[in-house]
Amino acid sequence: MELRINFSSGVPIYVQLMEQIKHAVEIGAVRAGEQLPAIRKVAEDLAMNPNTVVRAYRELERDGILELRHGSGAYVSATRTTAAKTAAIERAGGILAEALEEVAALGLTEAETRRVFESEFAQGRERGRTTRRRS
Amino acid sequence: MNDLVIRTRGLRKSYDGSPALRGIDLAVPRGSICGFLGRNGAGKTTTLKLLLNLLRPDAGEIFLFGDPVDSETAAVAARRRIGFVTEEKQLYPFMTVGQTIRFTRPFFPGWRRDLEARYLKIFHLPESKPVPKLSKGMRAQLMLLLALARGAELLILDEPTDGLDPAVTEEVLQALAGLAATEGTSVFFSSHHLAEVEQIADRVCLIDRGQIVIDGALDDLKTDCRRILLVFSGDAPAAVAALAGVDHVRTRGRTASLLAHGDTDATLDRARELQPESVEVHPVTLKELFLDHVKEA
Amino acid sequence: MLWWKAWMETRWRLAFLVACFALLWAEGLLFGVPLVRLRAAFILQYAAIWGIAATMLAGAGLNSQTTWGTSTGYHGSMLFTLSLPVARRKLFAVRAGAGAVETCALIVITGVPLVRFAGLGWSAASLYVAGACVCSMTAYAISALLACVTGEMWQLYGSWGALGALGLSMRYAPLARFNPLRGFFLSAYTAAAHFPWLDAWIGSALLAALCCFTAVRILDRKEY
Repeated sequence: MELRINFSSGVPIYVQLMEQIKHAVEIGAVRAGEQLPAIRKVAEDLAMNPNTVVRAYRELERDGILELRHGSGAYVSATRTTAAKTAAIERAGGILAEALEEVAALGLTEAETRRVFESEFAQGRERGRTTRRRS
Repeated sequence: MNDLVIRTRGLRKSYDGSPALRGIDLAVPRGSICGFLGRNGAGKTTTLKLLLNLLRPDAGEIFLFGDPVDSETAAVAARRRIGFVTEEKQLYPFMTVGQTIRFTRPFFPGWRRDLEARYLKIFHLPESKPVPKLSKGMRAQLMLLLALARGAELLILDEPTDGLDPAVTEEVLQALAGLAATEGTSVFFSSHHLAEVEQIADRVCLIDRGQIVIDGALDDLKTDCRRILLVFSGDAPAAVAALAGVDHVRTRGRTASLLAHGDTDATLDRARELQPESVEVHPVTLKELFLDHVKEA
Repeated sequence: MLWWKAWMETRWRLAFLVACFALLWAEGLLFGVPLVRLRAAFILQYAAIWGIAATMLAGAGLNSQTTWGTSTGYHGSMLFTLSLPVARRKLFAVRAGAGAVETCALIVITGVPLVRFAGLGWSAASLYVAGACVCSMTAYAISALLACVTGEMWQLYGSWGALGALGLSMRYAPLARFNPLRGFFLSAYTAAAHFPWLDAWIGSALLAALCCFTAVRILDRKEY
């Protein structure tokens, strides 16, 4: 499992770790029932805070993606259905490809497009949080 | 939260009449890796020296491992459980690497020979090399080895990666992460290298002009803070500066940059009331947090 | 390990001092001057080096650790030493103790041949050497005290100056009999009856104790 964290990004590190582990599960790099590397090893290899790794693993357990077995380690949940997610990812790729084509037609550079994307993404998260808070 | 490995209350220190620390309240939980940031001269080294009783405070209290450090006896007891790396990383010029290790070992009953051997290997430190012949990076690594191998519960490090090349820096950070993971060692370190702090720290403490201006979990700071960029059709209205929930505002012509804090949604709504042409929300990096908090006049 | 460190810090100085004595003996023997005639002068020359030796082997001030002219007045390794779980008083005691032992050892080794050569009997010789040890502790303690407050250079110059002042004061002060420097005069041990050297020993002990006490108080409060 290849983990690459951008420590200076605004995205919290534990969130990045979660996303990458989720992604690894979805594309089949780690299969159901397989054991993930120990927290200590992840922390040491990436030179990152072990509490952050703990948090990521715990949240993933809460989301049902991992099983933390006491004394044994973290295992990928056997009950996770990945097929639906993989299909969703494929579809998302298609949607984004079309959108990128349209945006390119407007004459924006790649860098400008990224900025708009980041901004929309962040605002979308804000809107999502607002909706969750108000409901 | 009651298990604080470092706690200070109202710490004050002046040098020749000019105040270096003006009431420092630190609370570092056990098991955390806390980055201590600040500009040069803000009071970082002074604070670290006070923790080790190298300096005496003019006022205030210091608690290490929950016990007050108010006498040399108490300080000695605390130092037995602490590993310290100094800013200058100077060791004895008349000793070799091996002699320095053999000199330091007997002071610590909890010395870990396995860690000593491990770090000797990882840091590639030649045992028979005299200390003055070591490069700055190797001296830093030797000092770190001495701090890590003694089985300390708390590491107090003054700029541990200063002047080190990226490869050595990574080795040092890995060593700290590994120790924190396996032994639950707490780390309180000062640094100018914000990227490294973001990498390894779970808490951050920023000192500016003798006072703590940021103190909290790094993740919380990042999720709590947002940068909001507003562009107006005319000059940015003065009302922007008065928005509630906003810590730092910078306006330049038609754009305003705000550092919002806490309920950023509400702040966004309030900002939108000023009818800007465009609103952008961005996450905040540690560097931005640092610069915004220290640039205030 | 602190004793070993103290030894490592002072061994070259000790070697230098032993070389000085070797030179002195060579000078005396080479020029074939009958030592009996030059007894007093030679012995005083000797004692002067003992005094200097004492000041050089001090440096217990937790200040100068073997470098000259550092900007902070102390070597960076001082912070490492102070971060160890050892009380400052213990650090001072070990360093001062090691230097004192070295000083006395030097005096004994170089002094016994001297006074035997000068014709003293064994009991007078051992008394003299013991007295030289006791009285050199004044020089040692002054130097150790100065080491607590200044760098190496002024520690040495200052203590030599203090010894010089002690020397001058012998002519004038009514307390001259307590002057530690008297403990180096052969006449104090060869005169009959009463123990003229005892006053010098007491004077030395008191002065040294005062200096040590002051040094410890200074170190307790010192900021690094």
